Amino acid sequence: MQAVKFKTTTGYKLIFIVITIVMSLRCVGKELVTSLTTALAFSYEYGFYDKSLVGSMYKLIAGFFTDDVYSYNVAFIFSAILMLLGIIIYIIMGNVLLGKADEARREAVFIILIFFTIFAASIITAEDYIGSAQSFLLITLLIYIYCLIVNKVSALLFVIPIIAMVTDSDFALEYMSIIIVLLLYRIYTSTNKTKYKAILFVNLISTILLYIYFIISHTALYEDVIRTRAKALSSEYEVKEGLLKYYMYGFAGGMDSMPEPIICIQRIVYMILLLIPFIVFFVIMYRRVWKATISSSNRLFYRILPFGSILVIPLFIYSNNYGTWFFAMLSYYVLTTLALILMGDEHVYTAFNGIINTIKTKYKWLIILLIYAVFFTPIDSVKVGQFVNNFVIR
Amino acid sequence: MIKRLKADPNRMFLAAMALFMCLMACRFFVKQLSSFNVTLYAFGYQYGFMSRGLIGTIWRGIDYILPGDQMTYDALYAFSMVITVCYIVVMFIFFCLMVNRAADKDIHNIRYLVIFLSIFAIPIFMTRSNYGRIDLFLYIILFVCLMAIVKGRHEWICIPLVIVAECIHQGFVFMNINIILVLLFYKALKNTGKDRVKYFVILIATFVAASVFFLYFEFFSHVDGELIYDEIVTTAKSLSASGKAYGTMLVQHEILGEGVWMDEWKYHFANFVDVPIFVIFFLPYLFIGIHFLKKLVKRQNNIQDKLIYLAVALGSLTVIPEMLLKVDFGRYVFAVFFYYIAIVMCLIVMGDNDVAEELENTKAAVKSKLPFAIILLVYPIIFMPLYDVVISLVDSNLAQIVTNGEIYVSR
Repeated sequence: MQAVKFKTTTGYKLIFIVITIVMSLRCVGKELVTSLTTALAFSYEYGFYDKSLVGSMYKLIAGFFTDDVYSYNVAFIFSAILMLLGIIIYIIMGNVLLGKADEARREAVFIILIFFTIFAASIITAEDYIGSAQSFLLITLLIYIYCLIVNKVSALLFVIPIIAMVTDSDFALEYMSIIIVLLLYRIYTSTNKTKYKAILFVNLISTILLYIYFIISHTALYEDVIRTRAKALSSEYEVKEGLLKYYMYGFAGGMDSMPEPIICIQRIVYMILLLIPFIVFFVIMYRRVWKATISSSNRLFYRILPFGSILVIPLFIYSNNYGTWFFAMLSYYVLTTLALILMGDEHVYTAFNGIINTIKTKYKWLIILLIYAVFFTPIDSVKVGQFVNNFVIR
Repeated sequence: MIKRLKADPNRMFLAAMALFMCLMACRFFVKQLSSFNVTLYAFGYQYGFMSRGLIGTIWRGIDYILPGDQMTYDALYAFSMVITVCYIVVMFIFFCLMVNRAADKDIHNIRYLVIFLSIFAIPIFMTRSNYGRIDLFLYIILFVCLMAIVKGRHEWICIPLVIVAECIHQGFVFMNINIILVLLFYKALKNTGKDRVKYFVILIATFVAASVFFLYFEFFSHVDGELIYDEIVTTAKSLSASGKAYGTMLVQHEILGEGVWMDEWKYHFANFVDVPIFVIFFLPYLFIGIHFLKKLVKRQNNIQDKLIYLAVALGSLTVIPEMLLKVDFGRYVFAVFFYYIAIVMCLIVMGDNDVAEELENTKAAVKSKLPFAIILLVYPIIFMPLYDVVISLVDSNLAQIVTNGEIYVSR
């Protein structure tokens, strides 16, 4: 009895926890990079501007414990604690989502979660992301998705996108498409259509308004103070100029720090080429979904489903954080698939499970795809990772 | 071409493996040749028949033949690239042999073992600490010997190849020769008549040759070390990227014959923390391996067969002296995994039904207890690459956290 029980939810959860821990240890950074320390120097004391929430929280919390707030050691401890909290919450959310899967879908959900964890561990623990806004966005997104899966309308569904936008306005282009797609699904399939339409409306309006506000709101008045604090926070006494210029002048300032176009193009091209196995997997899956939904009343939803990630594309143009944007695109496909399966969608589940069964019966050795996924870690925010960077010619 | 691949599942698998191995090599390649690994090229037989002098001697020969000065970092970097590619190609040929010779009933397990071995065997030699390491030559020799034994042709080649391996690095006797000896022992006891005699002769000759050369290099080859020390250090420095660094412990031990255990205390301390962490993370494989080997030995009905499979089970213990005296646990862990994975593969392909059936039984037992048991094939890649003193990123990162940064060994 014990062995059978272990093979059910507990066994899957245990493996998920172990994989998350070892992937986190694999990727864990041991120092704060200048982009993180510069971001901690931003604060609402200068005004309500983009990317200031984490810095404001840092100032508030660190201020309780020490007078020497703007020092590297204090920043490191703060970021390390955030990182630890991030891993713990990720593990809890993963276990909760696994618990939501019925026996038939448990293995499919498990495979998707493990695949996602291979990449997500970087976003929480890698050197470029320790205690960063990105890991916070990921955690809030998972909580939002959970709320949608359990089909309970709660205040969180209104509040989370606002908090995420205030943390980092890039959320609008990175992850908002996931929220829109899943809300559309709920509108199509739920009996509570009106409430979900209201949530979608509020989410869209708040996101768009905040995004416009943050695009046009910048200040250079406090450059000296911010620069001094950012240097004090950094171990090398440096400032991330591109980030500071974005804070002061917006897109135009940030684009000054873009590397040569030939490097950018190479990174994107190699990234796409190396991701071909996963692209093929999802293309096959969506083709099967399309075939199965030709005469479905919701076919429009399934037609637009594969294209939701186009919102991420502008990010590749005005910012060189290709690793972060690559993760955002991957998150779209993985998390929408996961959420739709957990929400009971038969078409996506059948398509996904069909491919997995083909692999299990005819091509068992295709397990190397899961091994191959690890090659992309740890994710580097700019260079994508060592795998992509090894091909780039300078 | 795709139709031809689809028609032959083995060909499709091998094509995918070729691509997978290339991508794995590209992923983990760090593009740096460490000063430790170029130091051995400063050694050579012009100083006498010294330990680890073969590669340096060959390189000096290449320098003499080719135009221009090859005693440079760039030339050694390129040569290391050539040897690494040769290593991957020879490994792939070995995989082709295993897959093509496996019986239909065993092909799935052989494919899993091929994937499993490649995960360990490729990343380790792409890191800064191991790129260009002379272990590459040892494993090339090992693959050639294994192929000869599995094919049952020209097994005598093990004798001269083992001598060459000893001349390259006398540590071969602890880390790598075990699998050759165990397979020859297996063949000797499984065969009868003239074949048994043949295999015993090859086994004894291989063992004696390896032992003689090891004893000579370890205890009798350090003469005139003081006289050649300065020249070797100067040459080693000139071969490094910085022009200043060289493998100090290596030169002290191999040239001066000094013991370096206390000088390497920092690394021993790192091992004391690192190794238990790694063992904990890999406990599932330890349990599965012990379960498999115990059942394999228990199912034998006579003393001879019990002896054979006891040798299979315990053959990796030859690494223990290295573990006690030296610090390169990354290489030792790799040697142990290589031993068990390769020997199981070779035995199955050589037609050993006991090993094949017991592997299948163990697989079934694991699947009955663990959901998505194939995750055991994916799990090791998270720890790759293996290094030298440091075993892997995961345990090394945890060791640093646990000791609050006290332990730091560069990779």
